[in-house]
Amino acid sequence: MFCRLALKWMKRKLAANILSILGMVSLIQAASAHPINFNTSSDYVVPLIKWAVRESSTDIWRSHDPNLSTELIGYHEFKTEVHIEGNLDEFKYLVLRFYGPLSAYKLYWDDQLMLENGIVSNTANNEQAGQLLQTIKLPRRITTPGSHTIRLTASNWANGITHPLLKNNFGLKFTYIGYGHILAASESRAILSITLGAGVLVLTALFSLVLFYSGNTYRSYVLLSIFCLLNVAVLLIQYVELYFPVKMGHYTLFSMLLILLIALKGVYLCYFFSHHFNLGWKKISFAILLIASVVSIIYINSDFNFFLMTTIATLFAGYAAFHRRVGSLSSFIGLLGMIAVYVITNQFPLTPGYAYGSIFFAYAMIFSIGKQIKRTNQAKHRLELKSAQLEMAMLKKSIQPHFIMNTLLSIISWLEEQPKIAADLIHALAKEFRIVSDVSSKNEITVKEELELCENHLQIMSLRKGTQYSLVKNNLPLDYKIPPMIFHTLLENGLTHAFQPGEKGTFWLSYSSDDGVHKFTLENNGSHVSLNGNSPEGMGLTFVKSQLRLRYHDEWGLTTGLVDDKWVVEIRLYRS
Amino acid sequence: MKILVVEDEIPIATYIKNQVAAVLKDRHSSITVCHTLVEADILTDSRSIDLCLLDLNLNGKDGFEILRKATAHSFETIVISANVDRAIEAFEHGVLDFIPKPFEADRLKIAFDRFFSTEFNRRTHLKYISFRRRDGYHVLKTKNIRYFKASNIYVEAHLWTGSYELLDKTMEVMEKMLSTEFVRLHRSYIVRISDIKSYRHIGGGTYQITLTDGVTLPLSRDKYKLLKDLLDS
Repeated sequence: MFCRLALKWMKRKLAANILSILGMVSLIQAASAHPINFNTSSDYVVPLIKWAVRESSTDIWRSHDPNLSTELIGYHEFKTEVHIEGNLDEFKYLVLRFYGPLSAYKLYWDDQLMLENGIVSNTANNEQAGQLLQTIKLPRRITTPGSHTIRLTASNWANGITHPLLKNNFGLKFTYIGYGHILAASESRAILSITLGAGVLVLTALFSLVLFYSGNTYRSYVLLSIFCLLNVAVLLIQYVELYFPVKMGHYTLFSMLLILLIALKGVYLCYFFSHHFNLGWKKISFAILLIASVVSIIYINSDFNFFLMTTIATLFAGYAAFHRRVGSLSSFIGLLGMIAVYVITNQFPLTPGYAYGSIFFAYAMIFSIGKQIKRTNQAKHRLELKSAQLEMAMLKKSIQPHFIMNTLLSIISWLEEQPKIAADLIHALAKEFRIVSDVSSKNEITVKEELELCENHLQIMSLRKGTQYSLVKNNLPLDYKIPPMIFHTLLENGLTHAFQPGEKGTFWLSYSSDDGVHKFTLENNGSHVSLNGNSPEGMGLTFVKSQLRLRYHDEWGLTTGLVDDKWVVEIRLYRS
Repeated sequence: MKILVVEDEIPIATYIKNQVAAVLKDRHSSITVCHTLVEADILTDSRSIDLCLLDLNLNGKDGFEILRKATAHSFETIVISANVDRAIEAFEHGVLDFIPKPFEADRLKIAFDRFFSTEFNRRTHLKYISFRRRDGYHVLKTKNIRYFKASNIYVEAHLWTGSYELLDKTMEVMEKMLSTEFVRLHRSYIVRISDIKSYRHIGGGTYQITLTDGVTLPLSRDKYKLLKDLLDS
């Protein structure tokens, strides 16, 4: 029964609602003069959205736009007509739910005074503001079948809602007529869904903040948390009268705040997504979004603002989904779902569609973030593993038997003939171990540290091989950070492959920077290389490439080759 | 006795040369030092060498290549290396000894004692035999060999497939290199004991063995008793 009626009601109201979202409903209402119809066999409440205002000190009534609040300033008389169709159900009565932006008013049912809310006055000084929400029980004897007139004598002097900046977002449109018990049930449902929505949003905000502080220091979590908290504030302020009796005077401040919060939450929704999916236009977009949000809420209305900002956010998420960013699909679905839930639930009077939409959105976001965290953790784990593997590789390199045993044998062999050289070799070996154990645990070291390691290694190898190896440095940025043991490994490679036994050797390490590309070049003049011309690839080069990949992902390049009888290794880094 | 030292680090090569000279005293006639395998190849082509002390980096892919080249020659090879994890592989290629670096003179002496020993120091690990043909170095798996036959100063390795390869080894060196599963039953033949199907006296002081695939080979009269004991036990 409820479903069938709801569908019927929706069909009738959908077109009008979409138009009202676009702020065009005033045109339709101005043109129609028919009274609002209330069918006594229905069990829904009916919004009173066709009002007339009396031209001052005349008997001329003209149509009043219930979406606008600017016409409410000062002392006015308003009226609307309700046509009651059929007899009321037994033991049931009708109520008028008056939620209005009027400071004070007297409400008449067929010229019979039903309520005096505050003190109405034609001067600002004598006016006293009443309550924001009034529910007026209509006795059965006066709600007979036929047409009835509801008339308001209202004054509105000190009411901030009438400020030009807020004119599109408040008006007489939130007034309803319906059966008392239906209205009470609707209000209860509204309270329930708002409380639930606010609860879910608060939890989501806390969840995001906990994530942020627990080490996933992505700013987007803070942005999501801000968005959720703004939403909670909007929900609670928008429906504050359901929780507490609110004086019209206080609502002046609330309404200003409400508009600001709605505008901001739209901005943060979009801003969050541009951050979350790293869309790149972060800095510029906040200003643009803020302007779009504020302009749309002031010059059109809050519904339009909601659709505009949510659509932008949906486009962001859709763009990210198109580029297969992690968690973007669930975000996209979450946003579409939020719009759909909002549109559907908003068709019912006194139903806070936004609360339902937000719940749907929050669930989708938690799912999306969970997915992203999972992916991040996996990547982090892989990185840690890779880093540990490389650290192991570095340590292993420095204690590999071929290096250490040969060095020890060299020391023994020098010991008798030239003890001084043996001592030098021991010192150099000790220094190599010290530096390697120091740098192997680091992700990056300065060029200066790397050079120290390289020169020390060349000293060891010179003493071992009974020859002279030297390193010529050209224009090197000593404080520039690079992954450890890259050049050390390339030198080792060169020493193994490039030189004949006893041959003197020179390495040239040079640096140049052009248009953000940092280029390091290592050359050697080994005769073996130019004789063979083959590429000395191997474990060493694999290690160097792993180091570069770990630090620079894919923003690096490495080429090796023979240039003018010299073996040249070139490393290009595309970011600093 | 002519010794060749192959070592790419000059100070260590000098050290090894001095140590060898000290250990051998006057038992050697020359010690030649070279630093690369290419150099060693040229030397071994032009001179006859009795023993090679091989000290190259056996690490990585090159290790197998180096061992293959070194063990294809007629001389015995002693490896001196820091890469102890390649020792088994070296023995599989038939090296006489493997001295881990760094080493002392005493360890060098043990290796030389082994070289000079007249007793058979059977190598139980031999799996591969390297040899050199005109087109380069090759490796035979010992399990593919049916028997060895002396051919002038060389050895022919006869395979189960029917073909044979000429090895740059003397019968004496070959006998020393092979594990105890092989036995020299004739001046000119070495066979795998497990492949002997039967043996018999064919008259006139001539003996013969038959292998599992029906091939017959001569058997020395003085080895007849040895074989009898071996197969009966």
